[in-house]
Amino acid sequence: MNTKKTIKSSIAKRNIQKFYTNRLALFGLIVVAILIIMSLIAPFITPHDPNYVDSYKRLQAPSSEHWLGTDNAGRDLFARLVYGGRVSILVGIASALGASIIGVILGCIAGYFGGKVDAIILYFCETFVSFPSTILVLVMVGLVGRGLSNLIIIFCVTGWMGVARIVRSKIMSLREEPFVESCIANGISGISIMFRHLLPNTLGPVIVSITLATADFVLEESALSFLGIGVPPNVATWGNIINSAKSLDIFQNHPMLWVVPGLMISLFALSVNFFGDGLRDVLDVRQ
Amino acid sequence: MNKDIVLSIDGLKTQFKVGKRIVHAVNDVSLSVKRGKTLGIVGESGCGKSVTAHSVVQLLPKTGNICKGTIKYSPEVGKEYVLSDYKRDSKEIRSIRGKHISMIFQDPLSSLDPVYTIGKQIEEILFEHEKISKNEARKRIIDLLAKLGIPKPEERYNHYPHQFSGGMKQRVMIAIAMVCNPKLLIADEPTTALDVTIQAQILSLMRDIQKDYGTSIILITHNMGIVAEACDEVAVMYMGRIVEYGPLEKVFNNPLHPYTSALLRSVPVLGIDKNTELRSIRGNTPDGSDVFQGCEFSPRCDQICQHCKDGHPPVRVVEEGHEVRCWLYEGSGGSDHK
Repeated sequence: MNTKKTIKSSIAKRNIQKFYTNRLALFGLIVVAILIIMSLIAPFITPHDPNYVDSYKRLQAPSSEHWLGTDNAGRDLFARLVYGGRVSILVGIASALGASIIGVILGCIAGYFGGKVDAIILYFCETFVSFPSTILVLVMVGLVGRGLSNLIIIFCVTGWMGVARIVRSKIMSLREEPFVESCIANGISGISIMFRHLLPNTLGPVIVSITLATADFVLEESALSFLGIGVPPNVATWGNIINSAKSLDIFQNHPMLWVVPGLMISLFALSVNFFGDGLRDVLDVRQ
Repeated sequence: MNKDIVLSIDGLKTQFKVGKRIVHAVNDVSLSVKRGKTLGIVGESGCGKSVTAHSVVQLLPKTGNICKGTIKYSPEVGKEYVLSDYKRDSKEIRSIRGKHISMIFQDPLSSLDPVYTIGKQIEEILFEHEKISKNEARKRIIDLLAKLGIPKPEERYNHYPHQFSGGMKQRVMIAIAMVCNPKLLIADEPTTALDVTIQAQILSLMRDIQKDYGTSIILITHNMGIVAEACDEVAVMYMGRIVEYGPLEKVFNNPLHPYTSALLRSVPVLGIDKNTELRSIRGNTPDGSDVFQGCEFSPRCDQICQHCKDGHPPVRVVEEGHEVRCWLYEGSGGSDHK
């Protein structure tokens, strides 16, 4: 039992080391972690309510009380940023996970069974892909109405195709590998082969696409909120913060109000991508 | 069924559909495997030896079908399963695979899932077929790995396939095949991808297993040397038919079919005079979808006679347990034409 533990920990040690040597990934992990932690402990790092309107304190410059100043409604920008991170990151991660789960399941089924099942799933996939995604999202927002959970569901429904295609093509090539025949010859069932043997072999690209999708969905949430059809404007999100800063006066005279949330969005998207790349290298046991 | 026999194949016919053509991969093959003995199936590539073995556990690709014949498996005296009645991928056949009849494949390098440790992969088979606790399973697997000559089995248990050499991987494959103690092991060219020294080790390993566990083995190979070394009985296949079948000594010392003797003449032997030319069999293997009027080997045969083009020669028992499918032994006593 003892040897088992030491060996297990040595594999973990090797993985951590591999991750450490990848500087960009480490940078990504640290930034993502800081941003997530900051939004989780938001009430402890800022005394301000992100939605508290104080019309006497509109458009103030940064000060010791308001670290990043206030917006045109007198709300504390820093508080809005950390609270807004909660919603933006939640939308990003939840949508990416949801979309990937749908994509992985459909891709697995299509790739493993092939034939008619594959044709039908691929047909669905292509139907979705053939619409420009922004317009598809706009239409669906129009149909189901705006709101946080609606947005996440819409992102899941419109975002699974990429993962499904990756998984399908990977599974199709893996299906012909001799180890699959060996599994069949040893009495392992089809479902078990599909999810226990083929799926883990596709995990590298899936993880990368999950992280890429997280960044994408954060960006898309911001874009939709900026357009005013994403998360309702009374909820602070990074997109909504930029949205409330879109008058010409603010754009020209108070750049802090849109540069900072813009930087947050870009920083998060970039860091998540770096982190995803590093994670793929670590999870590939063959390296 | 004879109580000494673990597997009997009777009149097996397996076809493949390739586009509109039908390829007769296996035609009217009958053979039986005795308990604790090794049957070798030899022949050149494409003669149907692998398809015969794959038919046993219904491991054919979707285009392949068993259209005739019965395959009976008897794990112990009095018990009998008719494997050819089971549907492909049915629960029944899955409970036979790995538990009663397991297989070793040609290419150990890619026969293991790269993302799991070998311990996990062996364990999976064990959990699939037996109710056993995790600790017990681990102990049994480590014992087995040690028995199969894998050094430091406790450590190796947690290693990934890419950390093993080819020969070691084949040992792991044998461990996967043997972990549930099957009654029959089908080895489909188990040593083809390995170098000669490792080949010898793997073959002697399989012999040891047979001695310890009493497993019957079907050894598929195209190497006459391996047959001579490892088998008790041998079936020579050509174009989907068994042309000669019998105990090893009888077939090797007294090859009846012209194809068998041609194969034996084409094997280089240690100490062979370097001026003697190694004989080859002229011509090529015909296409599997061709329909033959007579004996399939007749276009390449040196001892062709007037009957050969007339029809398929029937099976003829020339001496006790030694069968041949050739017109030369038909008619008056068989030995006339010799």
